[in-house]
Amino acid sequence: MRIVRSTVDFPSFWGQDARAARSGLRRLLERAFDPVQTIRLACLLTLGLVLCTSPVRGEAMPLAGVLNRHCVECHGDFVSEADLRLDKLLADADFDRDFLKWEHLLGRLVDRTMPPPDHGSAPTDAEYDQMIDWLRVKLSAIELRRAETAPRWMRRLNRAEYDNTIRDLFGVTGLSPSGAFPEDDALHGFDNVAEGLTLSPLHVEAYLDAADAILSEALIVGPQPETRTLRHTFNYYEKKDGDAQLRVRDGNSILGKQGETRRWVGGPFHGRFDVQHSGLYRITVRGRPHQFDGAVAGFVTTMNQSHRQAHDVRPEGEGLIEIVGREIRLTAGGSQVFEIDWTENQHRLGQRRAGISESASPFRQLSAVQKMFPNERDRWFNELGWPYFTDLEVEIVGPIYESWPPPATERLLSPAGGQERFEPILKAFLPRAFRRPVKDDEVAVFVAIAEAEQAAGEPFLEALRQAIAAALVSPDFLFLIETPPPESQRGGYVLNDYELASRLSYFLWSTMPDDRLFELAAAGRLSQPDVLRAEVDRMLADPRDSAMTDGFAAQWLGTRRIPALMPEPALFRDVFDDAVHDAIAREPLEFFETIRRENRPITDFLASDFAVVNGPLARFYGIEGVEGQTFRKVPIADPNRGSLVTQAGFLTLTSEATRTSPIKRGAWILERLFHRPPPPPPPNVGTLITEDDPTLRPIHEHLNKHREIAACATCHRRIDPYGLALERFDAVGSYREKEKVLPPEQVYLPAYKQKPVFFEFPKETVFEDGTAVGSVPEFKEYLLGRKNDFARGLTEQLMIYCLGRRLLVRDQDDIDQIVDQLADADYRFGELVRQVVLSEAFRTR
Amino acid sequence: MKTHRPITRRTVLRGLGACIPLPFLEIMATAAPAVEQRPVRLLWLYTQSGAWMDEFTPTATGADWQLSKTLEPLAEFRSEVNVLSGLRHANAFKPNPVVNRHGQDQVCHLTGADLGRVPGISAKNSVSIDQIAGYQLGEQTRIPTLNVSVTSGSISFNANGDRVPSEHRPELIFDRLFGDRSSQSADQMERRFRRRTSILDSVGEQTARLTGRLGQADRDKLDSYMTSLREVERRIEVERRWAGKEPIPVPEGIQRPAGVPESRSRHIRLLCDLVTLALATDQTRIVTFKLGDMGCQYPEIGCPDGYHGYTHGAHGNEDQRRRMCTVDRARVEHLAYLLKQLRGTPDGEQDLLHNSFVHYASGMGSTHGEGERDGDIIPNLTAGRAGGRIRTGLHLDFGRRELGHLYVSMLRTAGAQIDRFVEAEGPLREIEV
Repeated sequence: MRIVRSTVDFPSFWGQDARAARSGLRRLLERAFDPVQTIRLACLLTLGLVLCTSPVRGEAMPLAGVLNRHCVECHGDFVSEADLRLDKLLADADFDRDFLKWEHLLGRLVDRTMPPPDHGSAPTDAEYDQMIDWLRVKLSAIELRRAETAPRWMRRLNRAEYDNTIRDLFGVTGLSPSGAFPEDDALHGFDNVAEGLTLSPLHVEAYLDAADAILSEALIVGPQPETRTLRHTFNYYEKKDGDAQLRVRDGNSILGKQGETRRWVGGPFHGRFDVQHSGLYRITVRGRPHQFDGAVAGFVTTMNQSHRQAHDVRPEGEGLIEIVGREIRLTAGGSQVFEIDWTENQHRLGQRRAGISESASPFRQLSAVQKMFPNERDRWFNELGWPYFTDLEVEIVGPIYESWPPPATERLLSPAGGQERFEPILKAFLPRAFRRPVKDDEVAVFVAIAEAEQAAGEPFLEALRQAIAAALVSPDFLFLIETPPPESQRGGYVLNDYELASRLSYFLWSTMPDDRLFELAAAGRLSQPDVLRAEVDRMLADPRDSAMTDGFAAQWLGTRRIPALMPEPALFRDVFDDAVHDAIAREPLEFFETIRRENRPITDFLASDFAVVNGPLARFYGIEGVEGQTFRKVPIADPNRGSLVTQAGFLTLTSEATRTSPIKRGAWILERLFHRPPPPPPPNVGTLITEDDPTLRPIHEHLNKHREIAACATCHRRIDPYGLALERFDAVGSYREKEKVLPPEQVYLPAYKQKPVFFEFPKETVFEDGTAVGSVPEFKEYLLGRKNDFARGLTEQLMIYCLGRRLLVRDQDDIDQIVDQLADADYRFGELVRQVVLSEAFRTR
Repeated sequence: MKTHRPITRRTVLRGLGACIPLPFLEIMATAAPAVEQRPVRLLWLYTQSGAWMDEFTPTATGADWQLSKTLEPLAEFRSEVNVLSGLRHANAFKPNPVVNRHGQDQVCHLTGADLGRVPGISAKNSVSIDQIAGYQLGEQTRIPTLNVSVTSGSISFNANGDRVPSEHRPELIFDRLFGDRSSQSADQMERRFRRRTSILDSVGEQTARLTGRLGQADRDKLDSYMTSLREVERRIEVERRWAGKEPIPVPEGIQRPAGVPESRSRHIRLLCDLVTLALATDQTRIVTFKLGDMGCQYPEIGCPDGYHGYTHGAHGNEDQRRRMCTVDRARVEHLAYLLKQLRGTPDGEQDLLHNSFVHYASGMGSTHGEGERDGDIIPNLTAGRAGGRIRTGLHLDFGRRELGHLYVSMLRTAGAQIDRFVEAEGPLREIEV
């Protein structure tokens, strides 16, 4: 469930200066995401002490007089508007019971919407602030206490974890049984938070189906299915499909006529085929390159419109080469569609950059000429000098088995030594499936399932499948089970070594522990700090660790939402095409992956001297010398790039389809970089641009005006500067010297009819702490100055991700420590992960 | 409007998506035997984040009213439509920690729950009306309730108050309708049921044992799992009864959809087709369908920014308001498309629309919910005659009354025993025949 107003999140009530605020109580009293504001009132501290030591009930609210004076007239005994009896609330002073009413009241005070403007009297600003402060402290204390006593939800595997676990449990790559599972809801920012991972009958049915599908690949005997080869050569291209087993169609990307040499000049084509046996298939595309002159060709392949993969080729010579080869697991039944798109062909991109429209392009003309004058074809190709392929060939081979029976089956059956005995097989399988030692009587339960099946007339293998399927639907497999004694205190239970092994491997690898972790757990050594530290280092060096990029970083940075964004083509089609769109969704992850892999300082997220880009993105950013689809790390000269917040993915994600949104950008930075999300806006906030004011204005003027409204100012003084400092990037992240404002009704007009107005950007943006920032590089400097706040924000989010729960008061001491250690270790990413794993919160429940 | 894009990869595959040829006039003509009284189908259609009420609500009430601008696409269904102004769940407009003043918009639309009633738990929902219907009537069909949505996110909740997932992927919905049943023999099905029941038995025992080892605080999720196991067991029993009957073949000319269409409108229409298909083959009689999400963008009708932004902008800005209304109308067009499909599908001596009780609504109106002036004025309309059990062609204004009365009416016409829903005692008398 997406909780929109997550008022129960304590971080918004948390101060940020860790060193200054050692005790949880003091921190409680700091204002929301308000780093510069120090503790305000001594009396608050006293109150805080009272509230932590005495029962919540029965305390009178200071300033009750103010409420009596301005509010009780309408919300009292005689008249009780909106069913609210403030007189009673004040008299009872039962903040626990009346929590929601008080919270509602707090919201009204913060928004300054009560008393209403026509009421005649209102509290002074100082009175407002004092009531707000007092209520915030009061209510957040109650929230924290409630959080401590809330259920300790048990985590089930989410979809990615399920797939990875199956992969490692059976040793079968490429299966994605979770594809048909209901989607996992994210809570507190992540889809592995136990509270948000719901269960339903649909899940159970999907688990049952998945178990069948997995075992039909992992446990197979009998004759090996014949490996078939399907091949299509374009020299024998027929317009009609006939009943060819591999039917190929191009998207006008392959030129040539019946009986002639066919030329592939870029763009996509696809092949459709059926598979009779599920299994691993190899798909190969070959061709003979011409006129490449050392150019790189970039391709994207997909299978059934997903499983996207990028490939680069630098053809040399004129011999037949393999353009793309990939192996993929396919499921029998239904028609399969393989597509290859030659996206990185310089001639077409160059033509678009030069402003030549598709219809007027040499490509189209070539195509037309070909039809009319087949003999002119060679001349055209030679004159254009474009690279192309001939002798194209698509080949599909499968199912492929490296041995028979497949290794997965061998591994499952080997403990029985060739005999038809359930017990040894299950005794070896179950501890790995349940990620812990399994007692003999538990094994007996599953043996009994298999035996019952056998008794019902099923053959040995079917009966074994049944027992293994039962294990895959068991809570011991589906949940990360940690078993504190029933009466244990929260945080008081130290995980055993097996539980720790799972927590560790699901954190870093999103999958089950490997053999070494199991061995260490069995020896009772994993919990030793030096062993744990060494294991973290080993695991960080393992390629499986990129799971953290797809699991943590993709959610932290919101990249999963980028593919669905729709910047208005009428405005951005010249720069923003599918290749760029794909790339901007990938860039933040590649950037994260680079910092992780190279153990770089996390401050690189704020300001770096490198970028991680591929060809399309390099051209978008104006970086020279990067070709192809593969991302690589390159040094950058442009001081306006080199940071998470200057990446087109972030900048597009936080824009509307037609224009930038400094508020979204600012709110995103507060939420994701500093983990201090601003509270939601009050109800019925209008748009910034009102009809009373038809004059076209730059966005910063609208925002300035907006901040004159008292109810808005408090939050927007904090939010807006972060977005305004990035106004030099437009709604898809292109750098611009001036702000272009277009009347909304002109968006779809042809460019020559549009009458945009251009505005200079203001000389500087002033942040709430008074810092003035005049350019993007200065903004990066400003962010760097707040690296401790960022370190805290990142640590908190990493903690939520690895614990699978929201944070509690007790976790803050761990976080303080981690941030301190990080500062001493040059903010290295590896150190952050190491410290998180070694923290008390990580090792206890 | 131009939506041209320079690279054509995504358009290449577009032609591969299966289109479901509907209406069913020819295809289904023999599928539904004419009997005296066909069952009433219940559909809850839902769009998130409101509608601009000034252009939604017709001006006159009673039987003689004109379609409002937003409702114009319903012209050919006017006599089968009721516009019911002034219905809402009062509970949903009480202060609570979840909805950010969105009234019943997010999670309460079908539950009418007071989310804040359990202290300390941020959003304790209660059972939704479609699930109540499913518990009572669901066993009459293969699929108790079908929950679909244009994005992920469901408005349906089970008896524990846990979310019942909805599905937005057309191909998976198709598989649910025609997957195994069309291809497996009765023996194969029976073997499958036996095996599944045995797995569920054993897993149930393991879950119970594990629950015993844990403290109260850790049990919550296991309890949900146990509930789900029991529910699946019950469904297997239902399936088993169904397995003895003739399998439901995929109607001729209908292919498995190839995935989620890129265009939102095409996606919604494909889902409408699948809903019609599910009802026409009588695999379910209870449907929830969320056909609009607050974040939805509709570039194809000139509304490229998110709907949510327009709803905020609509209060001060004519351009934004116009776009909000454009989306509102497009959503009603989707409704009209579904109604057309239903009407085109024979059902007994009538058609599916005649025998359906469709509720179309949003959880918000023009302004935000909680505590705002008119924040609880929200759009509600019904379509279909529930097999002749209700009066239609009316615009009624209830001032402020519990929406639950309508839900009670809906369930009663479908044959469920229900007297009240949350705060609402009894049905909506005004639309009774």
